[in-house]
Amino acid sequence: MKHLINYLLALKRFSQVFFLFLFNLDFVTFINSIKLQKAMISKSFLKRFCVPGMNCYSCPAAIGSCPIGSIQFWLNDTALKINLGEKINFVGFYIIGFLALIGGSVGRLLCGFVCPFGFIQDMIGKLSKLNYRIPKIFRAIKYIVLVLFVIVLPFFFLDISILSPWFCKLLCPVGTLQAGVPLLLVDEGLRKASGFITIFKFSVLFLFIVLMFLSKRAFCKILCPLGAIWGMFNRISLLKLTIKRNTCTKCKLCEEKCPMNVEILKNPNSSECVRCMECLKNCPTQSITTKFY
Amino acid sequence: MKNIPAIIVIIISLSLIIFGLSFGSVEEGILQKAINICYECIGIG
Repeated sequence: MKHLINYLLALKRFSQVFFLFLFNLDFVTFINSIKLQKAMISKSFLKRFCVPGMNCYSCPAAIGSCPIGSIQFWLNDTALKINLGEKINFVGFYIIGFLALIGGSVGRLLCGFVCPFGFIQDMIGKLSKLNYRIPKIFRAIKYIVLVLFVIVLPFFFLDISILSPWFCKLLCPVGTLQAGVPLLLVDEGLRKASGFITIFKFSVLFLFIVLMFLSKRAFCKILCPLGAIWGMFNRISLLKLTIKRNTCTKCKLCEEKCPMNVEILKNPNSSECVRCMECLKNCPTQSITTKFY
Repeated sequence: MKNIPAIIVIIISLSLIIFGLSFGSVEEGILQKAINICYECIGIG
């Protein structure tokens, strides 16, 4: 059993690196962008599909679409079409179904095993031993962000002249890191066009990098709307964590080692759990197991 | 297979995916935006 868990955790790192490269496979565009000193992004036909993780589609090498960005643009587009009396595009139901399918099957597992930004946070977390518990009130911010910035504002507060993906525009540090940093570095025109919002977005990115040193996976804990969606499915998903109460010694080593500071003994399927399986690895009596049913 | 809520969610989500792909346009709804630079993501615009 212990070997199996170690194997699973070795697979986790491999899986995170694999998906980071898989979602950002268009190196040709990336290199051309640097060579020509011009902002260019991949025009891959695969961008019609969403990727299961936070990966900005404006990263020069990205070959898939961010589901959170896609939902916002679909809501923008739907509001615009309703205003103009045009036929609605039902493609948004595909995005909602795609997210619910993952949530219903494995809950937040892909946050731990697939999400490229989760991997970046894990790597930053390795540089620091600190993992302060973030109060519940701050953890609730991600639900407010999901409702307000991803759903309500893009649908109800739309500027007709420009589309308004409010989360991408004001908060998303993933877009700033994956798209903002490389594109602003190569393109002088973009640098000249940058202003207050650019500075604000880079400040958000900087703040979260600092927070990642203080508390592991700070972005997942506080801001991630995708984690908020999948977290709501943790209690009912097919994949679940269970505790063998008869062998558990309540040493709480699992809770100490949990990057998300989940109270595992109280609630092993908490909406905060990213199913990184660190608790399984660290349990001395192997009392934590996964079930798929 | 006892987990009825999860099975219901999976059936509904599969129906939504099929509905979305059948009656919606992926090209217009997702691809068109994703192949152009999202200036909002960078912090411009």
